[in-house]
Amino acid sequence: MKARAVSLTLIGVLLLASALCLTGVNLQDERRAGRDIAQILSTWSESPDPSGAIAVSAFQHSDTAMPTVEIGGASYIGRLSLPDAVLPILADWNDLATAPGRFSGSVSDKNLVIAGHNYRAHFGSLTQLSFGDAVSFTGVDGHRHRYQVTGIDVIAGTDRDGILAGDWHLTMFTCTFSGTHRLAVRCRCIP
Amino acid sequence: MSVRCFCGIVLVFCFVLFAAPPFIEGYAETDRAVRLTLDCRDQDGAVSGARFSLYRIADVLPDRTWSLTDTYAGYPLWLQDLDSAGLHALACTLSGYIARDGLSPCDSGITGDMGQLHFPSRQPEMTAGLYLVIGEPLTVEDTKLLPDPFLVCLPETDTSGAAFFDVTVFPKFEKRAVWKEAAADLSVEKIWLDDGAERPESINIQLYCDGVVYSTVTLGAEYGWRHTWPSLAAGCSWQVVEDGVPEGYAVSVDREGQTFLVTNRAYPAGDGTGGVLPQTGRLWWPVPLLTVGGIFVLLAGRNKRGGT
Repeated sequence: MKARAVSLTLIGVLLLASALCLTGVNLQDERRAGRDIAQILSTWSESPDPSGAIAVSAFQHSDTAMPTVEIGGASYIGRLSLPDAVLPILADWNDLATAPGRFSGSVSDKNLVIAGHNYRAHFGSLTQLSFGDAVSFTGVDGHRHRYQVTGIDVIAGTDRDGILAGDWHLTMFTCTFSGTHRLAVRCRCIP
Repeated sequence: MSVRCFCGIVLVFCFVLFAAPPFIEGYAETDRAVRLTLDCRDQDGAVSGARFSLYRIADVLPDRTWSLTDTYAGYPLWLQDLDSAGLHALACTLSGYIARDGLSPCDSGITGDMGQLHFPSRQPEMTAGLYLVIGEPLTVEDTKLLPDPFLVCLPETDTSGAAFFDVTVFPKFEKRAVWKEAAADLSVEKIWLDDGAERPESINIQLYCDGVVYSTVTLGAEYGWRHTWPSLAAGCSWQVVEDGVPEGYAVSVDREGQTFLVTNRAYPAGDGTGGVLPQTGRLWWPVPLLTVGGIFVLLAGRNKRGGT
């Protein structure tokens, strides 16, 4: 009986230690993500003329290319302003650990889709958005596009068509807590 | 017994928990250097003196799909759900474009006496990615060896998800007796994988001899989407490239005997990234489970001790 009690105690400690370790790893990654975003934005704002570095690039199977600016070896299409954050947006979604990235579409075609990690410093605040909130995207040409949240969906992680469906001018999506679904915030342009 | 079962379940749970993150997060070690060894041999032994070139075609994305590198991003290639035949067709298609456009390899080398060639050879190191290996024809006495182009993804993964960063592959050769070589007919046949709605009335096919245009033909429905070139010289490396692939289509070129199969597959609506969305979340959900489970088990242990 005593051996069982010791075993159960050890297992309990192991489980709690696992939870602690996982929390530590996640928080460390959160901090790293926050530092990366701050550094990118700092570099961006220090650049006297970001448009001077603009180079148009085409993406694989992309419907529309967007002008980009190079920062730290990565290409960005602009900055996204949420109610409580400003985020640089990568030209593609190959490195979402660094910053949110363009998943599909473009501003000019009014079908831009942006994917982002659910780090607090990235798209963690998407859950706080509600209908009517203002969002804006400033391209590397300096042109600002203003949007309003007009829809919020939860879509299965395997439903790529679901993310792309609908006549939305801007879609931002990130993982839900479980990771099996994606929270998609839909926006339309403000004239 | 029930405690043993419970312990087993907990251990399995812990294993899954700590084994899963690297797989869920994808290639956590995409920055780690990779190595590739070509081991060339046939039934007569090692094949030395064979020159191979290496081309880095695509990056490996966190969800283990591929994204063409800048050099190849402009080519209308199909990368999703490829089986071995699809990979071979992709390798043939790429080798056609490389020959046509004179694209430079990222590395190259010649097999040594033991028939082996190690990459990186000329460059200091290689990074993860999808690589195309193209070999040059080699004549050994009265036999001509024609290496088959192939693709290899580094690091290589097995069905359990384990990654291998130092990979050895065995290139395949087509062997021909030099004295048997003779002029032969070559055909090209067009295959459409679409609903037909956006299909053009005709397409142009270019036949290349050692990277130089030899002939351009137009294929259309009235000709049954096929053409045959008669009596082509044997000593030439013949390749086919579709000139001006229709908008919205990917192309793949494969060869079956004396026939080139040029397949145009319509891209799905959207950006062609496949059906799965990128993983954009940290692994938070196990934390409350582990915490509650840990507390529960600790309390159970405490009760047992109290009982004794």
